Amino acid sequence: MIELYTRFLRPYWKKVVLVIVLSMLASLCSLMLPMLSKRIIDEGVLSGENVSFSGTVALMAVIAVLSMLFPALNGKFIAEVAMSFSRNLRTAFFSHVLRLSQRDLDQFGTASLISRQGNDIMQMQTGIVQLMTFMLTAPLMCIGGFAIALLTSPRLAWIVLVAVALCLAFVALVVGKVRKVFLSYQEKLDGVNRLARESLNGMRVIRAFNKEETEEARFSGVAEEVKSKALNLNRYLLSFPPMMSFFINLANILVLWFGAHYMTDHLATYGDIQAFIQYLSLIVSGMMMLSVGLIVLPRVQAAGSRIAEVLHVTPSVRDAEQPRELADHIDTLEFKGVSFRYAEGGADALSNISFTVSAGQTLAIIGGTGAGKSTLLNLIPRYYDPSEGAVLVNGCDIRDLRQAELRKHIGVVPQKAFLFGGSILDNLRRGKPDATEEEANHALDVAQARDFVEEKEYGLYTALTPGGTNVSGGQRQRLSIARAVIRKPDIYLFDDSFSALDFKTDAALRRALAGETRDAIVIIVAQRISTIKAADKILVLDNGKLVGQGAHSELLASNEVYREIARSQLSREEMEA
Amino acid sequence: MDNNMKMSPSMAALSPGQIQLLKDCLAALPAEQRGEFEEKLFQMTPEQLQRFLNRAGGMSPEEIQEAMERIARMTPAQRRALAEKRAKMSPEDMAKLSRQKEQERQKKHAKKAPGGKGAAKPKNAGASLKRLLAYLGRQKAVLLWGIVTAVLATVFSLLAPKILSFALDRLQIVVDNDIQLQYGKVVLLLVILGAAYVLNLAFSAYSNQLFSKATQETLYQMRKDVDHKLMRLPFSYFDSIPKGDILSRLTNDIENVGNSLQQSMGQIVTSILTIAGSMVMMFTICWWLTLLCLLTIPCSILVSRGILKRSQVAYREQWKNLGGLNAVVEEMFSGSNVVTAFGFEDDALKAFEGKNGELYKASKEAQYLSYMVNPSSTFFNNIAYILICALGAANVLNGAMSLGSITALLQYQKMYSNPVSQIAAQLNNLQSALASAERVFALLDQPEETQKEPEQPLPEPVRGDIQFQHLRFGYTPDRILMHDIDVSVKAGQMVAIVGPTGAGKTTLVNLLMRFYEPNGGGISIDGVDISDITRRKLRSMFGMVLQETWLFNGSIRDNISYGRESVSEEELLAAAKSARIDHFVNTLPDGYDTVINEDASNISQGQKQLITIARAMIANPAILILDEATSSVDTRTEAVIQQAMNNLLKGRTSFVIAHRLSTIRNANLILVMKNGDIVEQGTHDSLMKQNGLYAELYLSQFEQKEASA
Repeated sequence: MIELYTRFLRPYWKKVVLVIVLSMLASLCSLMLPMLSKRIIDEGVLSGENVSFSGTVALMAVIAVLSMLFPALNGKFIAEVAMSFSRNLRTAFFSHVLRLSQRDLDQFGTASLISRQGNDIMQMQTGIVQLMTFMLTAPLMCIGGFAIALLTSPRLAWIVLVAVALCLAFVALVVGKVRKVFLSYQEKLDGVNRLARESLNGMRVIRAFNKEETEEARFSGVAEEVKSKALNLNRYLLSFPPMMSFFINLANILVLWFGAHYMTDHLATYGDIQAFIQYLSLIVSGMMMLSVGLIVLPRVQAAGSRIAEVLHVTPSVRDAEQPRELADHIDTLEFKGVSFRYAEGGADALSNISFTVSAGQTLAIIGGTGAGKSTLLNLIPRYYDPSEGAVLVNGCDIRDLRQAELRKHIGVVPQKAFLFGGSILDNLRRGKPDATEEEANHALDVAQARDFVEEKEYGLYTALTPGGTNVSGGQRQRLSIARAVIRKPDIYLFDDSFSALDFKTDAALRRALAGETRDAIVIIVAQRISTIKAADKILVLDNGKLVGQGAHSELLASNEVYREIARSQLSREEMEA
Repeated sequence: MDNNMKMSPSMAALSPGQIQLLKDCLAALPAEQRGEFEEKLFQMTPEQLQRFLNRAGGMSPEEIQEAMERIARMTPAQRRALAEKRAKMSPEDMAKLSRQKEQERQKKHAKKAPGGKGAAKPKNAGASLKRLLAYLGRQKAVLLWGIVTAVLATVFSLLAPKILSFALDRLQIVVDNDIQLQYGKVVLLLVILGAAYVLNLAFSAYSNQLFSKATQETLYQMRKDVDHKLMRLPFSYFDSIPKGDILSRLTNDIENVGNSLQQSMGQIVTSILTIAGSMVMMFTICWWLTLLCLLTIPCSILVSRGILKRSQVAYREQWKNLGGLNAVVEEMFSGSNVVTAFGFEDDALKAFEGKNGELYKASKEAQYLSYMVNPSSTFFNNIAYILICALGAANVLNGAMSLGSITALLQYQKMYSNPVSQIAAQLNNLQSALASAERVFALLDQPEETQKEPEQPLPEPVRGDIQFQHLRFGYTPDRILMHDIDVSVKAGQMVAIVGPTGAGKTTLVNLLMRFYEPNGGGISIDGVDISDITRRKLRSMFGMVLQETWLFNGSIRDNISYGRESVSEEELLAAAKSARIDHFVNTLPDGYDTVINEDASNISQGQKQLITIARAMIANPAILILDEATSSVDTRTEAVIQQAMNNLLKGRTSFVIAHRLSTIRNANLILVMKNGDIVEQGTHDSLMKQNGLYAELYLSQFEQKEASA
């Protein structure tokens, strides 16, 4: 938290200093009023002479106005510093996440990253506002209060110090506790919410298994824990205001006791005593503000560490120090003894995979759920780097190339078609930034998407929502294919991309694509055997191992796994055909 | 499910079953697209509707969507008109218009969405307050003590300035007259003052804890009550309200009630007492000066209300911009693999920075305005302060008041000014708490599933003869889906239920397990009507594997053994092996103790489904229901589990709903459902001979392969 604040506030240090100065001035203004009231009492009332105190009253009025003007000015700076801080932190976080590799992202999960980018940075923003508005007031009031007390009556000033010391000691004692208790309370509260969501989602199963009572007991157990944690937290938080007041009240008694002596000895005046009582009450209200911050602080701290956690990750896929140049065209792609594990020490998701494919060929990958098909595909654009072995294009390890350079040659069609906000044309231009409308229409033709785009009222200029949720799944899939086609890549990667298409569109699309990909390497991951029967080479994966490669007829004759898959999908006649 | 589909004149000709199918199609779509397609259906001609209904059988949501689009396609004339219109517009205009239209559509949807932020006003504040108080009333003793101690705390805090000023006045007399100070008296006064302070501390700290206790006990009770209710609500309730809404009542709303109660309960009591008390005290000292001070209160409230209003506008702007920014973040993070694949990180960053800049401006404004509330009320407090000093001093000079009275007035003024400036916030708080409480109470008021005591004992052991007799059912009574289901199943038979989406396959299962109650007719097991058996007893006879693979946040072991009390390690492993999940579990670092996390991101959908199959195997029920149990498993694994499934099904009555018809060819009885009714029944061979809907469905699965071959 502190690290983030210092790092992102540094460029604004001048304004931060201004904020401190203005807050100081505002605190002084409020402390000046009791001092001036002393003057009215001591010089106007008690002196016995008929001194007019209208001058003092006028001065007080001026101070009252100033006590509004300083904060008015201060508020501007506070708003600017706090919001610049959060703006810059947001941008830094966002651009950092964009540079992370898929493996780094998996570590957190998309949902968590979104909430860190949104909620957690918002928490940090709240934190800096609280810090500058409330938490800053407390120390300033203490320092200013002591200074003014010295000015008013040096003999009594030490009492202010005692009061402040008592308060601070209490704060120090409680703060550490509160943080811990708060975090465990928050954790339990999250637990209740999670459990509620869980049982709501599984209501049919819970009732089918007659588990209502078990679930209720589980829930009430967690709710009970929340209750006891909340009570515990409140024990600290709610003790804060009365304790603060009490310390200040103790100081009042000291003021009165010593004041009585000094007054009778004419070492202090009535006005002094009254002013001191008011200084103390101003200091306590400053201290109370500290307690507002105390409630927020643990939350801010947790948010800060969640943000820092992401910012501290160095991208695991990086460009080489001295990247090699890639030729204009990729002719071969080779996997050389590639193994891959998602986590250190975990099981192999891929083990020792080797194959070669060259331009003009279609390679298909088939296998059961979790066989490693998508994982294999993800190694090609360097979403992940292999744990062992290497992926080579034109004989060159892709880790020696610039990522951007490599990806320029690849057209990816992911399993879950994802489109972006903007027009359909904008989306296609993600594939080729300078594409003309003709090129776009051609790509749509290939992807069998021309018809439905033409029928939209604004054709290519039809606006899509973020994620492309305003077109159907099949249409999204075809647009995502068009986006890859328009790029005219050397390597096409289709990750189960035809699953949302009906069989006629699927066939037409593959026919059109064949004309488009004559010089390219096409890699298709598929579930349906019918989709990949015509491929030049088929890789059969089973639990991360390559258990066969060859053409459809060869595999059908020689490969047991392939035969099993085929048997589960094809009719007997087709198997024999 | 949205039960209020817009009915068009063309729909008048449709049968209730067809209407239900349309609704099911809508329900199958993602929520955000429902509205649009409802509109499309509404505009269809009777012929188009018929065409759509003919095709809708067995379609996935995506296929339904595409079919709708195909039907809604335009005529050549319309196409020409569109081309002409487009030729007249510049690309920029087209993009702009399309964007506007999309935004309007989204706005319309956003309005429909329930539980929006902002206007959180209770509809019937009085009734909700009463019930909330009744809830709190269960903590009567605690609350009563809380109030008593709060009153005492306030009394002592009000006494202190009086004692203080008395002491100061006596002191000044001593000073003025140069009398010897009597230390004993000073000590006595200070002891009295100290006692007031100590008592104030003790009582206020104690009352805080009491209010906290009352609040937390109430929240605990509320959470438990809501959870208890959820376990007993009929499923029709869950259909009528979005899940997120129910969840938010149990979490956000209860938390909101808690936060507000916690803050407000104690404070409202002490605030009112403090304001009233300090004013009374001030009046007794000098009534006209007090009145003058009170004049600053309305000024202060007016000004801060003005600022608050403006800041609310600014905050709304800030939230709007934050929403826009979050949309960009969500989009780019969700599509991050596409962003990197196509290398437009810089573009994404630029889009982000644009929105971020807007947010910066809006939140700066909002922050500034909300900051200004405090200084403005401080200003008016300071005015009151100056009035007391100046006029009080004049009073003292006139001899109308003692010096100590000024000190006391200043202290009382400080005491009331704080609560006064917080009253508006507290009332807002209370209002939003009541709105939340109202939503919680509405849930608690829902009627529960009837719990009927058993009248007839079931013959043990359960054999599994099942009879559906003239079963009649609709999810709402005015829309009957099933008209007359009459089927008899013999013990040990495997019954397959097939039919297009929305035909009522799952509904039949729902009725069998009494998730819903029929509107007419009945179901009997071994000759006993299931409505004469408790739900608990009934459900204990069933094991089920559903398409929705629900697992709870716990270890794989606990999830597999969910169906039974005590499961031995051998049984666990045997079930896991038959369900083909053992190998996968062993690759996990913690094996069977691996905790399935909330979003279950550590295991795939297919693996989750296998775990639910193992769970059903462990439960060892008399009757088994498999509702699309292998829909997320690849075909090869499915073929492998099929053997295990066959073992499981042996000797038990079972109901299997499957979309891959090849898996149910050997069923003893196949029920073909359409629009809520059984249109054909028999074995695979007899149904193929009939050449009806079943034959059509069966062949269509092969047609695919022929076309693509």
